Amino acid sequence: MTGPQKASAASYRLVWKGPSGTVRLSESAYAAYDQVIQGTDEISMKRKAHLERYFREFCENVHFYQRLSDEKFKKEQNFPDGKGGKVAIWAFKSWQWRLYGTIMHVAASRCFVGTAVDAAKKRNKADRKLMKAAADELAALAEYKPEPA
Amino acid sequence: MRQEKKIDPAVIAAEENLLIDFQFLLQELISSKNVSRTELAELAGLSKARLSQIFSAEANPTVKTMARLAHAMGERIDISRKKEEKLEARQPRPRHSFGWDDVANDNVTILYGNVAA
Repeated sequence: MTGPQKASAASYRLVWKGPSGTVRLSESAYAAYDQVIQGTDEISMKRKAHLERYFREFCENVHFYQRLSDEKFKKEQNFPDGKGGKVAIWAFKSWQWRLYGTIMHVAASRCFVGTAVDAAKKRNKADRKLMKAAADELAALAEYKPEPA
Repeated sequence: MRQEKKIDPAVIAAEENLLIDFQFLLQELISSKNVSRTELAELAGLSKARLSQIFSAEANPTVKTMARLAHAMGERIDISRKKEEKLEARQPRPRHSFGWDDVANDNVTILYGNVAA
């Protein structure tokens, strides 16, 4: 007997694709990202320019970590996955805006899977509650593999 | 009445992309030369907080600060020009050029655009 089928990150929105990776977003994260992309105010346009370059770097460069500093893409925290493992939460950051997710393999490609956005970051610290919710959603995906100890 | 400044997304993209180019370059130098930020700040005569700020999206370093940081890493920044792809589409139609219709119809690659929806 098999249990209920798990959700797959492959069904998430593909927002960026390159020779070394992809970026996919859940519906809620995509809606928040779309607001940035469609925004006509100055900050949204700046955010868009930055996020697109960061995504491009992640997708086109195998050694993306050599050029993306912590101010742009950072491993924030590990969260228990409820099965004895842990989910590493990473964040793309730009202009007080954070996209939380993790790196996993989706459709044979290194993929950043984003599931939560903090669009109104008022302080420098990441939002723990939001990251925990992102971790729970990521741990439930079919492609999820716990972070090696 | 004060007139509101018109925001041109192409100008913003040009400004931000140059900043990001510099930030990527500097971070790449830090990684490849295995220099800590504390060391770099000291070598460049900047505070560590100022150096961190230079890596943020909100940064707007002066060209002199950029030169100073490159110099501290034993490098020199060259300024070169590159045509923006969108501008090329506005050039006069070349003779005997196949596929120009695609360009004229705006089917051109935007410099930093990718996939989408």
